[in-house]
Amino acid sequence: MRELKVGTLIIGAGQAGASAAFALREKGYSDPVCIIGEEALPPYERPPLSKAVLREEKSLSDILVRDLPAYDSHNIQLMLGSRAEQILPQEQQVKLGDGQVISYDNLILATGGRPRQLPGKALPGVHYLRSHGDGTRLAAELKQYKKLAVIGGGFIGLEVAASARKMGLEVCVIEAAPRVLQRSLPETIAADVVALHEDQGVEFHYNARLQGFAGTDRLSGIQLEDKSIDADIAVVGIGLIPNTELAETAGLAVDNGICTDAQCRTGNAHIYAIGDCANSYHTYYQRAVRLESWQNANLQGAIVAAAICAETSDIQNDAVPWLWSDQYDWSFQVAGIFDSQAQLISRGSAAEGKQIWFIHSDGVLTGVVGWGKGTSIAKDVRVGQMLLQQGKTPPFDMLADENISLKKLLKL
Amino acid sequence: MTDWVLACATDDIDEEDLIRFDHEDKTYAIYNTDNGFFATAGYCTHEVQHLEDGLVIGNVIECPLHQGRFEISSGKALSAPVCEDLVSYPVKVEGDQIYIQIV
Ligand SMILES: Cc1cc2nc3c(=O)[nH]c(=O)nc-3n(C[C@H](O)[C@H](O)[C@H](O)COP(=O)(O)OP(=O)(O)OC[C@H]3O[C@@H](n4cnc5c(N)ncnc54)[C@H](O)[C@@H]3O)c2cc1C
Ligand code: FES
Repeated sequence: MRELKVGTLIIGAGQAGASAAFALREKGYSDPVCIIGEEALPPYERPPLSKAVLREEKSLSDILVRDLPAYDSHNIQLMLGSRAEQILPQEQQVKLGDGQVISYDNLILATGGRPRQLPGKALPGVHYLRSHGDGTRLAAELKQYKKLAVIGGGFIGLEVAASARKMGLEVCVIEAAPRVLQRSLPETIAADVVALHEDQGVEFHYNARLQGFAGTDRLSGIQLEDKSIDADIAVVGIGLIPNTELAETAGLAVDNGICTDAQCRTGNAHIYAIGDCANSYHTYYQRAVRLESWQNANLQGAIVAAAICAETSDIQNDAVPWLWSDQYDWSFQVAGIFDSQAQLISRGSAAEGKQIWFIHSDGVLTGVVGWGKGTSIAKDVRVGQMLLQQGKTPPFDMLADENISLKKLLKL
Repeated sequence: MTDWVLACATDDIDEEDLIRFDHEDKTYAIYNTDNGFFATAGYCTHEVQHLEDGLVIGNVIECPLHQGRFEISSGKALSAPVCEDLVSYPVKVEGDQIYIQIV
């Protein structure tokens, strides 16, 4: 078997892997760069999978991270439909599923994660949503079936619920906790989101103890401890398991993700980890943080490229986390990391289509959440993110006062 | 043939901000920055999203949807996810009126 030798080998052709490859070229890195991807598709953006892709408003070519000619013009080799099976850290080599061996100077692990599965055997009609294939299979069934049960009230579950309602399905959300978004957002905010979904006809079941699925050839219902619910299609969104097995068997430190420093280096001088699979030291929070967001995948792609090009002085993992979620014609933007029990300062009102919450613990600003129609909340959340990044906590009465420009507070 | 179109008045746009301007079947973004007034295409080059709700900081506009960044004076794409530049249009101010040149 022929042996391939590259400057930088990237395992995982997703958001983070692609962003690292292009960032390397933008920084002038000239050695061969190769991305290995288990999926047969070139790197694509996952956020539309629960939104426009489900509603068949966007196809694969609309959601590619970069179009295919860009890989050629940047001299980035894509090896798709190919799984990395083993890292040989001593030899600086990676073994692929077909036995091929690739040698590297630098190895970037950008392996993402996989949906947490419910126990029991797979039943047709029960879906998970991570890949484009998952999205198109689900989209086809949403056109064919009528009653959707979403299991897990996180961002992805709620986005699927919104998309399915738009498509005319009957939708319920089954949540094990006493409320939705319990891990990510304070209760007041979650309540406003639930109100919008209820307004759109979504039913919620809380404190649900799932006993199993009904149906033999295909799903016909969901059995909870105290009731059963009719459903001919279900989507399970109960979290992500980071893909860390390759790193673990290579002897790298793994703790809720592949452990790295603030420049995405693992304990091995030639191996880096980025994106959903990485638990990286965050200099702003002064602890390791594993983020599952599109912003983080892009930023860590740029950070690892800087580290490989030895531009280590200023680029590091220090950005205040930010993510968005679109539901109906409303959208969320969330900046910061905060305790979901933390206190809130409200600005604006959801009734008027635009609500911003500043979140603080013991008087220190820790987060900003916007929930509004279209992109109406974007500017305020962005300024909030900048306030957080600068470590500023403006007077609360000013934050709450819609007549005071937030941008002016940045200059206080 | 040059085609100057009246877009808005100078005080229609707050300092360090932008407004949307629609003309015929196209839409534009008109900016007021410390370095003067500028005009670019209205839609971000990443997805179909108008920049009007975006944040202007100095000579940079950030897209409200995914925070892609462009240089206002040139339309140049500055950071992921945007990689395609915005078309930018010449601007002239006469009195308190802003005109943009669209071909
Ligand atoms: C449905 C959905 C909606 C989302 N919506 C939002 C949103 O609105 N906003 C937001 O901020 N974030 C959102 N996210 C999260 C965001 O998409 C992820 O954080 C981002 O994709 C992470 O990028 P990544 O490159 O780390 O991982 P991935 O994009 O998962 O890429 C990892 C790739 O590595 C491949 N791989 C793994 N192991 C191997 C191996 N051994 N060999 C070869 N290839 C391998 C996988 O097949 C995969 O293609 C959403 C995610 C999903 C699934
Ligand atoms: S639509 Fe502008 S950055 Fe995505």
